[in-house]
Amino acid sequence: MTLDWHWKSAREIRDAVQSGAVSALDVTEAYLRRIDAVEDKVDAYTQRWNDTARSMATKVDEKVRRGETAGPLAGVPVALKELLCTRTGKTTCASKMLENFRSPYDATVVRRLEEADAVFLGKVNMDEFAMGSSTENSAIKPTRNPWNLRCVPGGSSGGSAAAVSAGECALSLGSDTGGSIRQPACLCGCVGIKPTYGRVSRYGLVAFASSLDQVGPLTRTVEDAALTLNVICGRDAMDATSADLPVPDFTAALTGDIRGLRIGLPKEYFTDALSDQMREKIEAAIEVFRDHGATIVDVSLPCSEYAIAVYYIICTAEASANLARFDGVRYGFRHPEAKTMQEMYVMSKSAAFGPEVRRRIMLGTYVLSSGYYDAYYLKAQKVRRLIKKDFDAAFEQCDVIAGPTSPTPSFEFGAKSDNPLEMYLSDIYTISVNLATLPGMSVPCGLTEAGLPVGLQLMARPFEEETLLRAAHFYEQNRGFDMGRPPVA
Amino acid sequence: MPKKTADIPRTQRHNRFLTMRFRYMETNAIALLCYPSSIYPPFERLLMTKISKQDVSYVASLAQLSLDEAAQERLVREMGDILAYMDTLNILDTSGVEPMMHALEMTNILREDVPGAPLPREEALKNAPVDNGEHFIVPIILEGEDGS
Repeated sequence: MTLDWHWKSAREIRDAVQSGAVSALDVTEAYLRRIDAVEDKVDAYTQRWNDTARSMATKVDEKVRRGETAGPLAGVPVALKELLCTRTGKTTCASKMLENFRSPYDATVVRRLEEADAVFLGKVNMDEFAMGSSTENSAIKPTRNPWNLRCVPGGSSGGSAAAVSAGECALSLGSDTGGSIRQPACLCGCVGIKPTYGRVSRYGLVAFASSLDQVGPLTRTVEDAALTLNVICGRDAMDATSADLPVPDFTAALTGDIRGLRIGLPKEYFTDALSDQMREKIEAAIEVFRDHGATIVDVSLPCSEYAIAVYYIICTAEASANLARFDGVRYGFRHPEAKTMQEMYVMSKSAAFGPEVRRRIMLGTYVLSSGYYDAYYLKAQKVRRLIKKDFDAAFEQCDVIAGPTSPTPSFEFGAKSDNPLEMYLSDIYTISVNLATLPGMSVPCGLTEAGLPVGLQLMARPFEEETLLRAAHFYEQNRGFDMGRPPVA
Repeated sequence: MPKKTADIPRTQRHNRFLTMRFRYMETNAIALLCYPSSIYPPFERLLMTKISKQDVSYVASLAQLSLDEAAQERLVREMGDILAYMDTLNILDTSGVEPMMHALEMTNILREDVPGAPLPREEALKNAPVDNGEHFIVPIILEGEDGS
């Protein structure tokens, strides 16, 4: 077969490698060539592991040659977000603070991918410490959107989304604290799923906001997302917050049958904040469900308008606590001119954290400080409960909630970077899912007139990823058009 | 040099708190008047919470950050905007609502106390900015030590 392996799905690659129709090494070489061809335009990769990739692929090929069954992601080329700990290469979190950090262990999700015979092509860009919605906060470089190189790829998993969309990897792992998988997936025209909080181990994921963070895949097809979840989900003794629940075969949920499925449309998600071009595509996507026997119901999530305020109190508070560990003692940057302990802390942090990280540490410290704790942090936790109750009530009337992933398609570099609050509002539709600990997903649902992707967001009850995947897969198979490929050569 | 919390007398801290609360009450009154039912509150119409430069420098000291003049001024504006936006939460009556302290309602996650293999010392030290092969080395902690 002399086909473009870099456009194949992970499942096609896996099947071909397992059956011996193609070698994992050939697939890997095809991806390395693809990266060579487009990377100077996209700039998704922060580290390229060509030798590691070839040796991992060779091991898979030897397994196949010996007649052993290769793993469920045999020979599938994967890119890892910079905040996943890997013994190979560095784990920089796209920050000067960790520019030379070499993790002594692999994150559980990384280990599970390796055990499934995936091939690692390298690491991809992100907003520093996952704080941002455009990948402009990376201390390494900006990443461009393959659909329009003047536009951002979204964030914080912008490198993951751009690499998947440009055919520079078959799938990528990202992390989602307030939309950091779904929003870039939406802006780059790929599939992204944030599993239920607790579904995937976070051991080895550098912590941003511990009550919200979750790892998940960005892929080109819904089936590939299901395939990846099969590998990465499940209880891990190294993460006490990982749920001790059986992991189903998620691919078995892709039945193509949505008869009787009740889809809720929250009226709060279809206001003026949603741009017309997005609304049109989302409504067309809903029609596909309606035409095929799903029941569409109106639901209400009255506390939606408070979600951003709640989120930016809780996530900054947790971030200020989590990032206090970067003290310049055991790892990370230490300012060479610091003479005393106090100077070491202050000078190291001040020199190595970028402006957005500093801003969030400041906000988090403020909302937790003596006198303001009740007014901000405790208040936010109470409203978080109300947001969760809104979803509980809505899910009594429907099985899946549908809406937009992002209020606007991708935007040009610099358009929002001077106004942090405006940037925060990019997450308006995604953060409630994290606050309510639900699984959420973005599926491409068309292009704007300017040729920028639009994403449909689906949400389900906790631990009902199967319902989510079934709905998303059905839509993908029946949307009636092909998303095509980004114009990047 | 910005003061640490412990350096500020309790009464003074309380006064600082009361002053800030009063500013918030003003903000909230205005927010109530102009707040729309839309999901997208026009934050620029809300009266900005004026967090002072002193507040910013005090919080910076708590966070162990040193900020130059320009960064402080920018944060006065940006944090003011963001905190004013957050104050919209005060519109909601949350009396009697149990705070959601945990993402998953799990308690007492226990495991067997089985000893495992620790990281080899050289692995644990390999990222240390300064070490002597056995320990992490830090600057002098207490005054009067000669560091030898």
